[in-house]
Amino acid sequence: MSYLDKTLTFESDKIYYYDETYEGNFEVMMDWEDPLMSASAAYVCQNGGDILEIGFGMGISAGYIQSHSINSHTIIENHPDIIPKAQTWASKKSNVTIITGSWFDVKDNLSTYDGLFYDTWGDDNMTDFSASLSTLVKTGGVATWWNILSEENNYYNISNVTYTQHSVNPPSNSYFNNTTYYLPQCQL
Amino acid sequence: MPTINAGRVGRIRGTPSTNYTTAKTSNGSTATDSPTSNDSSAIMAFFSSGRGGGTFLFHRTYIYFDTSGITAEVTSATLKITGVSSNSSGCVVADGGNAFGGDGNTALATTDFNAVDIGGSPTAYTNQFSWNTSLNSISLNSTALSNIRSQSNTIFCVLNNNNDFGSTTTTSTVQAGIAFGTTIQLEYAVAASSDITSLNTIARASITSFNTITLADIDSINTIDN
Repeated sequence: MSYLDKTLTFESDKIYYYDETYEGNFEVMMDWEDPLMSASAAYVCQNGGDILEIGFGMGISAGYIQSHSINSHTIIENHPDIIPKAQTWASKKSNVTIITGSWFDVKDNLSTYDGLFYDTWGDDNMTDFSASLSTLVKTGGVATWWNILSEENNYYNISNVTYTQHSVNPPSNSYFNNTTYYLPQCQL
Repeated sequence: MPTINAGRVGRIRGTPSTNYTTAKTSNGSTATDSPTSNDSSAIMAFFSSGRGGGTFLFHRTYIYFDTSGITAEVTSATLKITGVSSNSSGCVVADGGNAFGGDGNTALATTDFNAVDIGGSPTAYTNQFSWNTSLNSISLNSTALSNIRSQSNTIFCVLNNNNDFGSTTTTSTVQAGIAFGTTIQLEYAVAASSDITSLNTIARASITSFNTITLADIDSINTIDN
């Protein structure tokens, strides 16, 4: 059973699901990431313009992106339990467009953007992200993504990336248990 | 052929990690000693693409046999395990090291997870084999045969071949189940014993036939048991 088939549990501080094979919970997103979402939003919005956000999650980064002066905010979300929450959140925001489905499936119909924030869960097309950057982001535009590696490196082998370090203190969880987050910064 | 029942069995859940090697070499997170029901993930290589990377998790099954009574040369041995559900591409049996305290008297512990020594020098007792959802009759190699004879306590580890024993990074979840309620057995054969040590000054081990009759087919020569 894939992630998209899982029933998500929404609590005030996290989204998670139980995986029978794993014999435990997978946290999808948690509120301790708030400062990281803020910093990620600030980075991708530094030039204003059109922003693409892949993965809505708890909507933390979306809220921060909206706090910046931007033209448009396109959000792609694929989990059926999160989509209605994203749509509700976006309902009175005139510059927000929600696209449902896999980012990989819709990428050829997207525009190009001044800023991109990629933060997904259970993404079968993670390995395609690197190759898609140049077609999704304008020249001179910027991108960041959730970085699982606690070092100046990244899962996607994207080169010419700089990092800013952020001290964090996450509770034990299934995806990040380090005390320093290396926020990737990539200018196209 | 003589058969020995497993003296102790158990399954260990590894510790999930975003690092493939760490997930294979760390202590386990849960050890289940002497299970008695079906376990659909007794042998598993788990992967979730997760958040910006992946989560790896492995399950291994350990089996103990008292082989102190086997002193003759073992000519063949078959590990018999009843399987249940499976989507595994292949499993392998390896030397289980000192799991169960090395003598079967200690319950399987989380610290036994890597008694098989992945990341070090694990010893394979089989090639890769496909897992059946009925009886798996697993032929053991010469290394295993030698150890069964020389060791009073023989411990096997059954694990995924490519992703756990091998070093192919997991990109999906593969698992094989065991019906722990059915006794796991070790069936073996030993070389026939003979009271004849030599014939006409030729050592028996150097003789293959006598008067054109294959030596193994001869019951006795001049009333001496062969």
